Amino acid sequence: MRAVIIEDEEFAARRLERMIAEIDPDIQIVARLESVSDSVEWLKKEQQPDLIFMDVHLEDNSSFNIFSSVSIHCPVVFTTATDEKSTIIFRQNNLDYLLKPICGDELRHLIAKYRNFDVLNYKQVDVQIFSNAKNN
Amino acid sequence: MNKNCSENNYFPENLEFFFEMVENARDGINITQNGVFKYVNRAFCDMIGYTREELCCKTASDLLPEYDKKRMVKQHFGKIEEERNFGLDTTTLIHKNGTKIAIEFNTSPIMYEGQSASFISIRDITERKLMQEKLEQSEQKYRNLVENAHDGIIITQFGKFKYVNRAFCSAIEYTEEELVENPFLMVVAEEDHSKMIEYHKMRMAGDKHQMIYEAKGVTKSGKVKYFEINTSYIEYNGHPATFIILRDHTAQRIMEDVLKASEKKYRRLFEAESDAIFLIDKETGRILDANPAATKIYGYNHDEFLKLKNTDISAEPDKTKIATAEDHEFVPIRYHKKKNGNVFAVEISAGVTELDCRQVHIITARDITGRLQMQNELKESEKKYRTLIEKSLDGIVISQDGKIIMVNKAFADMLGYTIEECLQNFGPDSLATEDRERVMDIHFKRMRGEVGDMRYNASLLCKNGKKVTVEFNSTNIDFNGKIASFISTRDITQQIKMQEIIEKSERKFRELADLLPQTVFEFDPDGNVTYYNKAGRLVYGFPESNTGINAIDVIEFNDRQRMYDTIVNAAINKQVNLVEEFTAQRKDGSTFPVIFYGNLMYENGQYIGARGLVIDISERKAMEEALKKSERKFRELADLLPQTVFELDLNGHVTYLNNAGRMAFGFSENDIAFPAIKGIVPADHQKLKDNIKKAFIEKGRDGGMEYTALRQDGTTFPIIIYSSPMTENNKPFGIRGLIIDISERKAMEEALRQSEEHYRQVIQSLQEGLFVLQDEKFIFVNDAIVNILGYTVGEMKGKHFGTVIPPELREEAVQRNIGRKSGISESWSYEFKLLHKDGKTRIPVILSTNLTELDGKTAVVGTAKDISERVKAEEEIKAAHKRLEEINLDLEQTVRDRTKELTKANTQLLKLQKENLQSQFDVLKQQVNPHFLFNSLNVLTSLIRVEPELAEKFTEHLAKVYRYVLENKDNELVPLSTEMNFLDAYIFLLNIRFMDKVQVNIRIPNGKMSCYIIPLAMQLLIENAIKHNAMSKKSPLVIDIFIDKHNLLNVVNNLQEREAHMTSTGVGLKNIQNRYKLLNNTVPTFIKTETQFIARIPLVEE
Repeated sequence: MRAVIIEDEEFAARRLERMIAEIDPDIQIVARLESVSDSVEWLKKEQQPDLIFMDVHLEDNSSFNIFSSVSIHCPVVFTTATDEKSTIIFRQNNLDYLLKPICGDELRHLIAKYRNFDVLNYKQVDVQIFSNAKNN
Repeated sequence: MNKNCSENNYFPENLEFFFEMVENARDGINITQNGVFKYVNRAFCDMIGYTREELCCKTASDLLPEYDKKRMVKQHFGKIEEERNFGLDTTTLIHKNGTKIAIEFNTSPIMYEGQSASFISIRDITERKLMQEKLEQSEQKYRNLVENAHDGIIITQFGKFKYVNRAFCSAIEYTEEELVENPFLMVVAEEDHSKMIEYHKMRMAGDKHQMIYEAKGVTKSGKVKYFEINTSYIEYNGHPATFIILRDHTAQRIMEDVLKASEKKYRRLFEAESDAIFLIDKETGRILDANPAATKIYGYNHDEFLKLKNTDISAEPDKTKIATAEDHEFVPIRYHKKKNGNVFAVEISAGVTELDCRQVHIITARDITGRLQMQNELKESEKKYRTLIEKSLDGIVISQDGKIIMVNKAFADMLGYTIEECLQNFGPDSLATEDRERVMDIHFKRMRGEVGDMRYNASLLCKNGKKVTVEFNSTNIDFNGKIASFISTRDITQQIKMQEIIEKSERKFRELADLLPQTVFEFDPDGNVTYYNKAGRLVYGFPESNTGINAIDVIEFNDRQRMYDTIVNAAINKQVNLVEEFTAQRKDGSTFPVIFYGNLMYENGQYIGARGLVIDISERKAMEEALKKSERKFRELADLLPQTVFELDLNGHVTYLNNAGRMAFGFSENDIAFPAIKGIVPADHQKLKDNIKKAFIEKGRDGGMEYTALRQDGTTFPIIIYSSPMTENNKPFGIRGLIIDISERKAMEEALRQSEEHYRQVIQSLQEGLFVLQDEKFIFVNDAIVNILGYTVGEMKGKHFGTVIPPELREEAVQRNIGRKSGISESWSYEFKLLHKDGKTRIPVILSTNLTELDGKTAVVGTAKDISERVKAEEEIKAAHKRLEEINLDLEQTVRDRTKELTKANTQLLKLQKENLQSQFDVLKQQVNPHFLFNSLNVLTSLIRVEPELAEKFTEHLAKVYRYVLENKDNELVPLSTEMNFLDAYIFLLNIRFMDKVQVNIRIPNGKMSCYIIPLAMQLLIENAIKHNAMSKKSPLVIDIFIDKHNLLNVVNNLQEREAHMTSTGVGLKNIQNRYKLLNNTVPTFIKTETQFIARIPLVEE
């Protein structure tokens, strides 16, 4: 399974990477992206991964902006330190997210969920929800 | 025809015929014998109603009434015996039906059957008798009538009285005998004779007319009587006569005359009356008559009046109706209406009378418009005069025959009495004793008509005993038909007192005038000197007496016309004060300059002369001349100067500008008295005005103010003005000064300034230490050097550079120096270490030097950049990276084991610490942004797994941070040094978290370290910057912290704003501000420019 980590703090990214590796060594981290611009560029160029771990707060902007620039066809697991607004949106829209520092069990649970995930069933994230969120 | 009168023709032939005649005679015929009827004719039978047969047996006396029987018989028989007195006789027969028949019979004796009988013819005279009776009655009646008539009744014939009745006789005073058969004219007045004769003639001629006319009769006694004569034609005794009824008209006539006269009189009055008179029918109000005056007044003509009612001419018809109905006799004012509609006032007097059985009002309407007006005028006039007298401020007294008749209030007040008291008590005793006789004498002379208007003074005694001197102005008036005295009085007590005071005062001033050294004089409108004081006399050499000197005489010949004209003009313009200089002339002919201060006097608008002071100004003149000369000298000097010399007047106008000035500013010779600001650019106008004003007020010298001057061609140039006020009698009247063109100097200054500014900027913008060495000594260091080496600027100045070089590097330094000096290399940049002030610490720096020249000598300009931090960080990061590599190369298993152990230990340690911290965190969470801790922990979590050793270090620094928080949480302010320590730890954490994405540069001089600041302010700001800005390795967030020249701590970051999705820390900024506010300190400011976010926090000095 190919996964992409979008996280601007290096240590956080490395920790996540390590943890994923511990849980499921078959998951291959194909990219570690730190900014919205980098992410958009990569996603446009490369083949979409099977899973994206996306931190909300990136170097240059909020990661929600990625969605308005490139369409994402794979499941996205958001990570966020504590951002009430974001968490509300996630819960309301039934989006998966992990709170940082990432808890091992939760990560395990989600990885399990998406390991056998049928991509075709996956409902794409509606970009609108983020613009609504921004406006709120 | 021939009448045959023979006897034979007298008797008819036939006796039957005679019998027929007798039988059918109309008269009754009978033949009686011895009183018995022997024969009766038909007529007789008819007459008495018996038939013949009845009569046969009757005697004649049967037919007679009883009373007449005897007489008749007697007569009958007597007649027979006495040869009968036959003839006509009358008697009465009784008809068969009893009625009496009056008869007339005629008896004649006849022989009837041989005996004597009577042949009687009888005529029924009943009618005749009746008629006779009637006639008698009538005659009686008429006689009575005529006799007893009140009117005179006469019958005249042939001009003679034929019959006169009693009334006439008494009226005319003649008896019947005297009148009858006498000419009628005897009773007619002379003047009517002709008339009477005329009428009479007419009547006699058969002119049977009836006439009524008047005639004047004369009685026996000569009285004139007027008769109304009613004449008619009658026959009297077979001839025409005049039947005249005379009515004594005398009384009536008299009455008529009187009435006529009266009517005439009244008509004349009616006609002539100038008041309108109307006759008004009371019931209908209709105007029955109006006099010509009414027409004149009302405008209607007579006919028109007759069509009007009294209400038609009244403007108050209702009142008129009431007055008419109630028979008002007098209406003082009613308003009537003329034909043209004008309303005017009338006075009405009315009388009621009866005329032709109607109630009639005789209305006299007098137009009282004039009268009313007069009345009003009189009232007004009376009011006016009353007011005049009442309100007069002069006391007014009217007296007659030694008694006061009237006083006004002013008079009473003057003496302190009331008006009543004056009238009662005032008399000769109220006059002062000395004046009593004189005043009373005048008064009585006036009563006698011997004096006219008089004015005199006298003293009166007031109620309170005081004496007032009063001016009496008296004249005659008529009061109740007699002469009375009308006196207007004025209290002149004050006046007299005033006069005395004035006289005294004038004396005083004259004495004063004589003491003055200046000349005091007065002259009349012609210039003749009426007074001059002693000084004048002496100065001009005039004699004691004031005669014969004219003001002209004291003026020098050539000045005379000018002075004369000046004074004349002043008098024409009604000028009061006059100040003029002229040249005076002494009696001996010598002249001297004077100044004339004059006061022109006017009375009733006429110039009556002047009074004044003349002061000798010879000395002053001399001084003025000297001054003029001096000024000329000054002007010449001024024109020689190359600088601008100017003078301004009080209005800021240029009164003098030397040649240099004219050329410099471009003003021509023709520019005079222009405002000074004309030569100054508008921007400096206010400054110049203010300074001019200041100069006048402060009267101080101005050491030099810079302005930008404006040439008249529009170009500008900088100037400096040195000025001082010009005063006279300690009052400034202008400013005088010097203007120097400082263009060159300015240019130089500007260049220098710019250069210096640039230089300063460069230096101060340096984060690096900058120093200048000359002769191996520091002649300049910037603040950064100070921060690096710990010395103050003062300490550094003059210090040999060797002192800052660590001993071990001295050799190297010397080498470098030699190398530089020998010119091998001019600029040097190398890593080095400098010695801190504390003598121990070596500060790693990058030195960069340049040779230059300063003030003619070689100097070294160098920069030293403190790289200690960087070195530190580099080393640490290097170490971290190294370890990172080492770890990565290891087998995960062994590393995991080891790290597991370490991690466990660390974790435990950290857990403990974490717990510790956690508990403290609860306490501290208000003082430190929880986010910070959270983020730190987050990082830590990652680190532990990934970089345990670094994690340890991280934890250490985190602890440091919180130690600081713990230690300083209760302090409002902390010293900057303490805060910097904390900041170091905090920045370490940041660097771990963000690595190259954030760069914090702190440049705080040591000197400021003792200043105080609010704790954690900078941390918050840094956090703020991180939160709101994007940062990457390529484009890091650079935060500069330094102290600016205003002693404010600046935290400046480059602006790379990210979209706001985070909770804003506006609260945090507010927090800082509030904390400063609590300290009553200046509040921090936060400025966002295009490229930067600048936070300025005040430092509090200790």
